[in-house]
Amino acid sequence: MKLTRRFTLGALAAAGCNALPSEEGPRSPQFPFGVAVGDPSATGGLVWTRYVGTDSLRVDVWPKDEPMNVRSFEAAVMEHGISLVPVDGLRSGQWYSYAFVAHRSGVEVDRSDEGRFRTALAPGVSAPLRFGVSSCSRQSYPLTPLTRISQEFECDAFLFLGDTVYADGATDLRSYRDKWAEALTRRPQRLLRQSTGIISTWDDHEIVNDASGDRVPAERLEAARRATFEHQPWRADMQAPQRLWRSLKFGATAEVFVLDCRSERNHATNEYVSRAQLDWLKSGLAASTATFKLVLNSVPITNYPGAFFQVFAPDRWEGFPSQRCELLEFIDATPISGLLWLTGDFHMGVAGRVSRDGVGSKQVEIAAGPAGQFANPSLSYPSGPQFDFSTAVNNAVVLDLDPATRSARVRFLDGGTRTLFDTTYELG
Amino acid sequence: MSSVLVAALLLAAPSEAPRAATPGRTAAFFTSAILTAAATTTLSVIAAGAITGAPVDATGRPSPIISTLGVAVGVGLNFGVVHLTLPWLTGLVDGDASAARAGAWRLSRWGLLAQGAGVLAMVVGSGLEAREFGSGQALLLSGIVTALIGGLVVDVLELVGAWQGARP
Repeated sequence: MKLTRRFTLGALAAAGCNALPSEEGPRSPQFPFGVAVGDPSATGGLVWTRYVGTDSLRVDVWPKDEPMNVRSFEAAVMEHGISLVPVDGLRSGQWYSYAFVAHRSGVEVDRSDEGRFRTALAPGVSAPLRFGVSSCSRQSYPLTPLTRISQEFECDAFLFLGDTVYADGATDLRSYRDKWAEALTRRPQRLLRQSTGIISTWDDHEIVNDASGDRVPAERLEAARRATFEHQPWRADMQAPQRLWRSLKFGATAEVFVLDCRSERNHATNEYVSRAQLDWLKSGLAASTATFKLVLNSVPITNYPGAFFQVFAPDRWEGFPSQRCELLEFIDATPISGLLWLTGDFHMGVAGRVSRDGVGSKQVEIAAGPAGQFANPSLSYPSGPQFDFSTAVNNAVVLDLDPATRSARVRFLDGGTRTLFDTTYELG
Repeated sequence: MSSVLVAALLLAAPSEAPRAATPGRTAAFFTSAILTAAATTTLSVIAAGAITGAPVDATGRPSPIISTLGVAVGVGLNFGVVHLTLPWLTGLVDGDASAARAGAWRLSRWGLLAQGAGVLAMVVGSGLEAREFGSGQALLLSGIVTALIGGLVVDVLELVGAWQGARP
């Protein structure tokens, strides 16, 4: 038992969560999870929903300010009612609205909530971008930071850094799907996913606490992976459809590198990620011409000193020192500008350098979130000189990238009206 | 705490003859004492948690020294209540409360000393942590563990000491 306020507050919060106020449901019960667009590109995105009806589906997409200019795309409904529609041929850097339409012989009989998203900037275009970022959104918590982001900010995309669902206790595909249903029927999740495109990775709780690919039974890992792929729309690699790691480009301003820090771990070979993923990341970072390189890294790469934090070091990059060192040394030695690590998992918001001294000491990592979780139970939180800020408050980050000044403004927001921290990093 | 009330009623009941240490009264004493100690520990942990969770920072960051204060208050509360009540409960078996308290103190002070050392470690750890993040965490962690284990030791030794003191 921990004699900490976080223990007490966590227990109180957990108790309180059983009494969450009833939430406004979706427009149609046939679309209980609302809608989303995943992995937006310069010409489209993957439009997603779960449909529990029996009629045919299509997706209507229109420029946000031109509601009469509708384009329709047929939408196949796959197993478990999942519909994932690759929408293409749109104008870059434009806001679009969309909705799923259930129809019988072309006659509309039902309609989903309306979503919106912005296509990515065209190749070569340099313009400011805004991303929302968070992690750890346990479905039994209020998730107010997500609601705030969806209602107050127009983000080019929202970056989910993992633990979007807490699927602990699930063991097979059915129970994983049930956990996702609990998570995505929550109003904050629906509002957020409808408000902009999403780019997501997974972390341990999409599988099981402290999951490591080589230590989770293969059937369980595959059930978790399949359920995650069903509910998080992202572009699968046709050559390797099980692969999660990928990169997305937003014109000349940003390239987003999405890592899989869980399923490829191999303790026997001391690999945190596969050799293929590590080489892909290194070559991708070196070759990228984007002003900013955002690395979605579900578990921190930062060195957190002290007994409280070293206890859990084996579960993050620090537990695999050879790969961590190889990557950080490569980044330090290669002229890679504009790199920003984005991470979650830790149940506390942190802004600071990856290392205090030596390798990685010039690299910045932002730990965003938790959007809804008990705070990290450490009695002491990171502070200077390595760290600029840390918080125990549930939060989400708004990240403004300005390619003209090569600066990244980082704002930590709580679920109410407070800005917890506001700073700008020069990443040139 | 209901056990304390039951014990109080038993103790307050008019009695012509001295209360003998019958198996029933012995069981009542140990049951009351154990439940009292458990309830006190729970209350102490809640009190310590409330102080530790005091809103001292707008970003919700913990303050190691406030956490240390919370642990110190929990230690003091637990010892104070247990040391007052357990010897008194020996009246159930016709024990002498003063002698029981002296017996309890003779043993439990070592547990209290360990808890004090734990709190001291936390104070030092807090100071180190304030100077440099990470440098005092080992002391904070060992201090809180020592204080917790010391609390259990205090409760057990109070019980044993009170029993021995009451019935030399």
